[in-house]
Amino acid sequence: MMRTAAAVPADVPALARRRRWRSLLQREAFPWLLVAPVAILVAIGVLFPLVYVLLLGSEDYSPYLGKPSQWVGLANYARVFADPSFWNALVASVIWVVGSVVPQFLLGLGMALVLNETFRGRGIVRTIILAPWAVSGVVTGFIWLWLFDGTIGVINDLLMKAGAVDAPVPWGIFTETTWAMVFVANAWRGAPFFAIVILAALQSIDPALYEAASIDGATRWQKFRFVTLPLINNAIVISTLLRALWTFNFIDLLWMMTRGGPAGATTTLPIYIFDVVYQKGEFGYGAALSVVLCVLLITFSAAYWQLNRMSRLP
Amino acid sequence: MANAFRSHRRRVLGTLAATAALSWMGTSRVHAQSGPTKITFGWPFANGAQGIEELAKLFSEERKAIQVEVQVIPQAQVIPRLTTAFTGGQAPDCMGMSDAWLAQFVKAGWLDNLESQVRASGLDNQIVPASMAIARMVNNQAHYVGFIVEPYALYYNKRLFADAGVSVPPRDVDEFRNVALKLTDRAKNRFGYYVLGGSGWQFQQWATWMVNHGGVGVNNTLYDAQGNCVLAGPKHVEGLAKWVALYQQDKVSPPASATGTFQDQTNAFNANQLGMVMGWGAYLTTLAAGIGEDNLGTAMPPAGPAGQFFFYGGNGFAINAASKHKDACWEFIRFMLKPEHNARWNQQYGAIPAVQSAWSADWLKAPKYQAPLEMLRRTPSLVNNPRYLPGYASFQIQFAAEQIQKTLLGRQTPQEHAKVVADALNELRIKAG
Repeated sequence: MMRTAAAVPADVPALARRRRWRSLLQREAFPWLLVAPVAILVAIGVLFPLVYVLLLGSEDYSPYLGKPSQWVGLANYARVFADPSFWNALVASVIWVVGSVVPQFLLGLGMALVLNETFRGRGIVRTIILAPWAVSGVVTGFIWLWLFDGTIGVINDLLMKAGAVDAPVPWGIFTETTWAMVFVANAWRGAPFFAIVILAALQSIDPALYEAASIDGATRWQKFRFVTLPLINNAIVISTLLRALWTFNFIDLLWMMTRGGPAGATTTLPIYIFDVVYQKGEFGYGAALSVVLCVLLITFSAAYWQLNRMSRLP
Repeated sequence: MANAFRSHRRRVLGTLAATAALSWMGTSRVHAQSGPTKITFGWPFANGAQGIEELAKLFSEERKAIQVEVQVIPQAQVIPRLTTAFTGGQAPDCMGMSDAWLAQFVKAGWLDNLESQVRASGLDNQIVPASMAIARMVNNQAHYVGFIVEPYALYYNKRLFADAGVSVPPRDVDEFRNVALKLTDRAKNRFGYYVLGGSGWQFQQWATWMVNHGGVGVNNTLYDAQGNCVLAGPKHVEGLAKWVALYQQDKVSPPASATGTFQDQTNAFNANQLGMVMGWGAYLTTLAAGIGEDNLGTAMPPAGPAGQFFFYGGNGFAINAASKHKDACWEFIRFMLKPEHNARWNQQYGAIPAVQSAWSADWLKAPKYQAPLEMLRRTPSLVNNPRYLPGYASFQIQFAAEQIQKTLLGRQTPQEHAKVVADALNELRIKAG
């Protein structure tokens, strides 16, 4: 009885604490319970592959040779930096990205400025101009490959009929003309993306700003330079960054048109990784290459973003 | 407020529990059902899916106890797709298999050893020896059963031959050069031959000139008794130099062919711009459709001073080592390899059946099939190319194409080319152990 009498006052706060905990759990844990399926899916879909690739990059794993996987630490990463094919592929990737994104951006900007004007049939013109964006990379590759074909291509036929050349131009055997060929094909497909994004930004600009600029006596170029450009800057930065990242990782169009040739000149990093992993069967080394590629892209994105921020500081 | 929250929570949890229970019951019912054994058959080639689907339907109708579902795998993505499927335990029960990928999939332990079934059924005596040699390329054990066998033959345009005053296809490399020169008329954008430099079986073309000049190694492989690749020999270099000269000096090939693909070669031939091309047996249908059945001629590749050697290949059927229905898969494979079924499928595809008794079919008596059949009968002339080495797919698709492009475009000499190729093949062999 003594114990019971003494326990009553002690149990009351314990009971209250338990209730508070239960209430807290109900309020805090329940939302987590609802979020849990998505969180698990994200963990499975994003984090697991990332961690797996990191781990695989430290292994010598070549299933096609029937050998068990072996832990090699950082040896694969050391091999990456000593591999001349990696450096060649990196240079090819930079050429591919710069040569693709710059003309695409300029074309897309021009298209957006035209589409932002009011004229008859604007809706149809918009649809036609934006259509290539809907075509897949493989199909784009096929279309342009046949147009540029060095033996039976339409472009050569037109050039010969126009008297510009005496014999068909073998576009795909010279490094420079091969790059030109794939840049044209990629510009055809990628420019509408810039046009869509920049057009959306252009349409959000208040017309009163242009009226004010006109009253101040601004020329068309000054309106573009001091009103339009600053207001679409964010759209330009995001779209060029996204397109650069996509282009860097992009394999289908380039693969369809050049297969990495001539003599390996257009073998970009993703093409090289594809060959290392699926044709040579060196999964560990391929994973190390992928990790390096990922780090390079993150560094590039951060630097680009930071440079843009710095350029906007007063 | 608290009551409402609790009640709402109960409803949500109740719904989740009911959904989970219903799904579990649904799964249980599926497991409880009994019915025919279902097997999946993966078809990883660009052509021929329709014929396989017809055979699968016929088989499923005949054997009610086994139902076959054909899954078409896009050929351009086949290695990544199958590799991912095998490693994830999701690969089809059985599948079509190219000789180019067979070794690496066998070494990875993904394909069932079919040697005992092949012997017990007597299939090893029914299938052409060349195809059985491919099937047994790893450890001398059959890991696939061939359904198609293809020599790498010479195809020519009879009309262009007649226009150039050439009556018969060339028999040796010197005749080949002369015929190619006669057929070439650059002003008309017409060429004697396509010096294939791009991706897609270019290795078989220039290597034919090399082995026909310098010969093959032990057991018709490209290695000598010490295990060194023979392709760096002086006679092999001479053969390669002659092939390269067709492009660089003789200019009997379109300039674009240095990086042109097999598809580009086909397009140009079908546009009547090429007198001769080299390619696989199944090419017959495509080329006959392009320039006309009567206009297409076939011949054996030209002989060289060291003899006449032919490259050949073939696809087969394989069983997933992890399949739970291996017996059903084998039954389906046996059905597809019945002479009438094997002949039926190959007739649609235009290729040579791997089952020899199917060779008596009437359609194979057409003149265009005689050269490929004769090549396959000459077993001692067939080159055992190193597809039995894992990594050969990368060598052929990527490495060899890059090297021959460098050579054709004058960035390395035939001698340098031969050495770098021989070194790469030696490295492949050493890696394979």
